[in-house]
Amino acid sequence: MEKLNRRKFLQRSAASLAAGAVVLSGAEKAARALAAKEKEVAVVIDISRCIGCEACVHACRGKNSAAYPQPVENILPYWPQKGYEDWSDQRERTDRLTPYNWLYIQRLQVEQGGKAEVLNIPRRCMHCANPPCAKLCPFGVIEQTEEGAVAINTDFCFGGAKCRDVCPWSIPQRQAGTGIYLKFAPTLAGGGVMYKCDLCRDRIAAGKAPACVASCPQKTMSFGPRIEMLQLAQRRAAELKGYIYGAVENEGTATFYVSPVPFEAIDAAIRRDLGEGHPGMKPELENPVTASTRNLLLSFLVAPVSGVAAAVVATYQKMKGEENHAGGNKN
Amino acid sequence: MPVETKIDPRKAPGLPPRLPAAVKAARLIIFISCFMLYFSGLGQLPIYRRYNVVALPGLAWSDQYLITLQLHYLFSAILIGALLFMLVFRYRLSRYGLRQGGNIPAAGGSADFRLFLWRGAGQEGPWQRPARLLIAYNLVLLILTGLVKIYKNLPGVELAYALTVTVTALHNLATVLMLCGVLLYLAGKLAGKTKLQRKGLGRDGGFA
Repeated sequence: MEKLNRRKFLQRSAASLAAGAVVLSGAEKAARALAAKEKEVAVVIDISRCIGCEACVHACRGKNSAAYPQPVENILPYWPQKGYEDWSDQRERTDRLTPYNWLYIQRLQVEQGGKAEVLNIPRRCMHCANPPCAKLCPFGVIEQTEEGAVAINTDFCFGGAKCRDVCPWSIPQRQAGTGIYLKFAPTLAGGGVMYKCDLCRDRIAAGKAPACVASCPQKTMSFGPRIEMLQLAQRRAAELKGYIYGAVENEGTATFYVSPVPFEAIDAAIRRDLGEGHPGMKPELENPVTASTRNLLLSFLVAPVSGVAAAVVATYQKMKGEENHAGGNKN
Repeated sequence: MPVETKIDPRKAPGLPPRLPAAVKAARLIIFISCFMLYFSGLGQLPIYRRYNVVALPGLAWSDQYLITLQLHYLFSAILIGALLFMLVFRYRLSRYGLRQGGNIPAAGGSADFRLFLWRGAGQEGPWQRPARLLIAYNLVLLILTGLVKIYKNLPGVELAYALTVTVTALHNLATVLMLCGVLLYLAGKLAGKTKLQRKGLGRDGGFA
């Protein structure tokens, strides 16, 4: 696993270097792009330590409540559909992700070695290294910060919920009756604004740990440079004879869960006990963007080359044909 | 030897030359690609489920972003290939035509790219030239911004946020402007025709 992780890390660094070189041009800027990767942070969540006290949940709510949606009173349905997504009358809920709750504890019972194990798992956005939400947002308004936090720009989000559909964990949550769509044609288009954890991007930019990490009395969560956190997760997994989640899933994330119980069993328990609307923990999830486009990339080489070759052949035949024709007339 | 008296109207002086079969095929591919790109591109917005397109027969898949994304990739590659075919074909033939003293209009260097043109020169309705410019420039903008978007989607690539927002906005804007160009072109074509031609009695494209 370590080898795979290191390889992926190096791949990303190389790709980022190439990205900087191509887009910004200049060795100095490319070097800056590589240096930026060194700013990447991550969080280790040791499931074996979490007692489910919700200190992190309340710290999150305290930190982020000013950013929670304030919808209009008369929310319109998503024409021509009849319904709309409104959580404004459930602002106190902490038993799932909502636009008013960006972190919650999944409480599960999992069979392990013949005995029932109770697990408390803090769940929020994983902050993917290659976030499908940011890659596929039709307005490009999901930002990946240089620290690796994935943040929705709520000022320009139209609330189409595509980010939730393409997220392997369906993390972003929609609130209708708020946001920029109200300024255009709220009856006809737009659905509100999507909300989720932004890894306390303002705190981490200031060199502080996210509010959830800082508030945990059990030291369940650790925060630091991504590469160090990966090593920490690996050490802790070795101690627990346990498992890591988030290092390779969806091409790697900035959240490394460590668990004494296999994540297949945890995923099965989430589906069985919590069901719809709760993010699962399926191991080795593929990145949907990479998986669906990987085989098509070659066509961007094949099609242009074929086009040019076909044109050369077709024009050659045409010219040759006309010359033969002209020669025949002379005789 | 019998003298050929019948004149092919498409070869008459002042009229554009006959369209080569290869160009006809490439144009068809370009039109189909553009249609599929519009369909799959609009499918990147969350609209097909909301507006019940999924309920139409055979279109239940249309709200699956990853399927429409694949279609968008595929047809954009095909479009680029077909456009390159047109450009190279026209360039080589015009060079040849110049050498032979032929009447094939020169390609390259002309402001409107003339990708969709060939036989349209001199037959334009009042709004068709601006419409063609609108289509051509926005098509180029769509391709350039689209390529950046494909690059951005590669694993490990993170573009600057401002660049992503700008490129996405330009891609979306060019989508709308190109569609305006198509509508303007069709309107110009209709307006340019005489009453007889509108009834289908005149020669196709007879606005001279």
